[in-house]
Amino acid sequence: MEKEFCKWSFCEKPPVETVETDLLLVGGGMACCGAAVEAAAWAKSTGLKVILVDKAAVDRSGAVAMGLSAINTYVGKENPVDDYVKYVRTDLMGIVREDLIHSLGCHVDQSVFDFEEWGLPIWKKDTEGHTVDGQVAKDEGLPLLKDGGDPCRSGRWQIMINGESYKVIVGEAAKNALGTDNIYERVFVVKLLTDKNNPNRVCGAVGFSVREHKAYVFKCKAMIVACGGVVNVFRPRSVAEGQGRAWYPVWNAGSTYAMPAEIGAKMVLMENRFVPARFKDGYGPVGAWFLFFKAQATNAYNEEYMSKNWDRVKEDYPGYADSPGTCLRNHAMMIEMREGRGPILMHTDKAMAELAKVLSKKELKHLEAEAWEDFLDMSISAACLWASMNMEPDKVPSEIIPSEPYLLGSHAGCAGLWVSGPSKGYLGAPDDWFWGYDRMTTVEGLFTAGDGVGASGHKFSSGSHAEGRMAAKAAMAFILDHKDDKLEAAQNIDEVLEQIYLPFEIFEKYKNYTSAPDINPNYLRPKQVQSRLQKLMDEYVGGCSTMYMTNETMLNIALERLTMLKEDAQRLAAADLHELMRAWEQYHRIIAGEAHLRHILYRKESRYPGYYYRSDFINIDDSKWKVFTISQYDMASNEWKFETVPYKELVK
Amino acid sequence: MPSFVINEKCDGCKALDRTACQYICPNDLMVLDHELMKAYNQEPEQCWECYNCVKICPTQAIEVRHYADIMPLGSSTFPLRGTDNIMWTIKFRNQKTIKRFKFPTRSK
Repeated sequence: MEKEFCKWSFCEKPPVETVETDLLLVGGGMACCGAAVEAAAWAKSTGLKVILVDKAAVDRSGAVAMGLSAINTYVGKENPVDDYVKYVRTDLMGIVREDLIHSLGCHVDQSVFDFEEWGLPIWKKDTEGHTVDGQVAKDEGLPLLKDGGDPCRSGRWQIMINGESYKVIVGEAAKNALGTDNIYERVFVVKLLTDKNNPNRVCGAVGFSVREHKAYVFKCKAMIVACGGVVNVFRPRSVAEGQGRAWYPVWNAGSTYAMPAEIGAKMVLMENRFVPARFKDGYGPVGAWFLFFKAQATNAYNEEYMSKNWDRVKEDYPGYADSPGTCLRNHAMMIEMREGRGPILMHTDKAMAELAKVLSKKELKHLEAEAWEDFLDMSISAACLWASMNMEPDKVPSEIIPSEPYLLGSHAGCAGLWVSGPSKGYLGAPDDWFWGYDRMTTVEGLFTAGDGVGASGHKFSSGSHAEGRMAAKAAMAFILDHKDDKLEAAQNIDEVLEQIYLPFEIFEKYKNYTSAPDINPNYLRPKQVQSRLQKLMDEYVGGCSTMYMTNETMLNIALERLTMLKEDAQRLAAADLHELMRAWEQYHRIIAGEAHLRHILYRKESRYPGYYYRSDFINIDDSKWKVFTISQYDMASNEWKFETVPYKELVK
Repeated sequence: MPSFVINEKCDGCKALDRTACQYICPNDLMVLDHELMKAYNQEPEQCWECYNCVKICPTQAIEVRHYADIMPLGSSTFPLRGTDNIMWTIKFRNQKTIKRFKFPTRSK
């Protein structure tokens, strides 16, 4: 098809506001809120300017928008940081950047201390060892965590919170630190700019308001891009309205990966994904039920799926199943499902009955409230599902199921960008893991954090916040070291704007050709692009419909289809600003999805059984593949380059 | 369970320069019909059911009808969010089981 251009014939050219800053924060979730607090502290003494841009409202944006019932990374006084590194390494199947994980482990608790100081209620153990909620803990005068207070652990690294307002509290601190004049809400950044004299140097970003017909050009010395992982790149298990109830936030569109990739930032382990096993349809968390309430999960015949299959898992993946990591636990569940012994049932009823034997009536009532709060704080639909089906968790079990795949770097996954470590030779890291500034990508001046940093993981909310702080500190140092750099965008801003608003031009140009605007041979609407992407990823790249199985032939078909979809994405059409945002979200999803597909094709083994399988290379092959897989996209030639970097163990 | 707006209760946040639900929705779903002065959810199949519009609505005009492809009709889950706590009332489909929980949200 002929290429379309925006000549502003059908769409009015928007006014452009140019904003100059030293540091630009793209995203408003936990990572960028951490970055805001840290950068603001350094900005005071150095006189540097910091701007934050969020496509939503900071109060309720990002993955913690709904709230959370636990902080999943709190090292605490009882745990050595080395053990945190070992836990992350085991869970992510042995290939991780231990310099990144260790340094994060050293800083994460400070973020948790700050959250408590800012007003987040954290469950505590009182002097008699009873669990009390965060407000009671305060009323009883129990010490804060920073003063040696004893949190309520739901697992070795997790602590329970009353987290309905978690993001509001963290967002407020970020807003106070930066000042509202330095925060641009409802502005969606979609393209990054590079320097005319150094194509490997970021110098700005272009976005648009989703509230008014207005474009923004941000010019900066350094930038942190941290706007979440990728949701809805695979066809979800839901079929209609329920598609919104993704496990991770449905607005995470892969912008963190796509925008840096387009200016040549290297990505690592993009084959990795996370397939959360959660309460079916409502996506309620299972962690507290397993760890805190000691519930068991069985197949249809009352056989506990873990103990039943674990010897087999150990035989299939020798050396990797000594302690059960997340993907291998999925694998054990999938054995039962594949062999027709589903559904998997979480026996909440039996767990509550066991607890009733040892607890008083009052304690039991408290426990019931805790179980409901676990859902109501972070996954309200799961509570609604119980109510809508008349299910009382103390009377009946609930189904759990592995969901559609998600790409991310902060939870039990390690997709992301390849970044510099914290310092030269940190813990004995190889020299080529450090290039000057902590968490800087391979593009100079471009930093990331949270879901953006690959080959680490298990940071969760607190770790993402801490990593944002670390990235901000390094970015401020970078800016001071490069004070006199004269930067000028290599890209022609007018051309970038023409590209960004092209979906408006296309819609207005062709909309009257047919009698129904949704059916038009000249364009695709974002929703249509999304469904095509989801279908091909699901059917050929190891989605739910093939039980996470793929092979080289399937992947090559997927690549062919995705290539045509990417071409068709040049004909995305948008009728209004909301749809223009969706158009760019789909475009970012395509790039992130392509990276995922190509990485799976490149790695000829099944490194993450229970997340995905290469049926043609079903085993883990340490002799060839205990390596970081690194890709680099060249937008001009539309080509991808791959290389491997050997894994090195830093923590014995 | 996409959010829905009850016509009778929604006043389009007439005293404010932008509606509360439109301001807060993380996925840009809530919009105001300026003629009717009523807000509505423009893309229900992209609703995360995060309840932020429900919690913020000054006239309690927003509730949630749970995802049609998943959940039977008849239940309700409704929050009342104050400055330092939240109270949830959960009514089951059978209309008999009612649960009420109050949790702190911010240490005072």
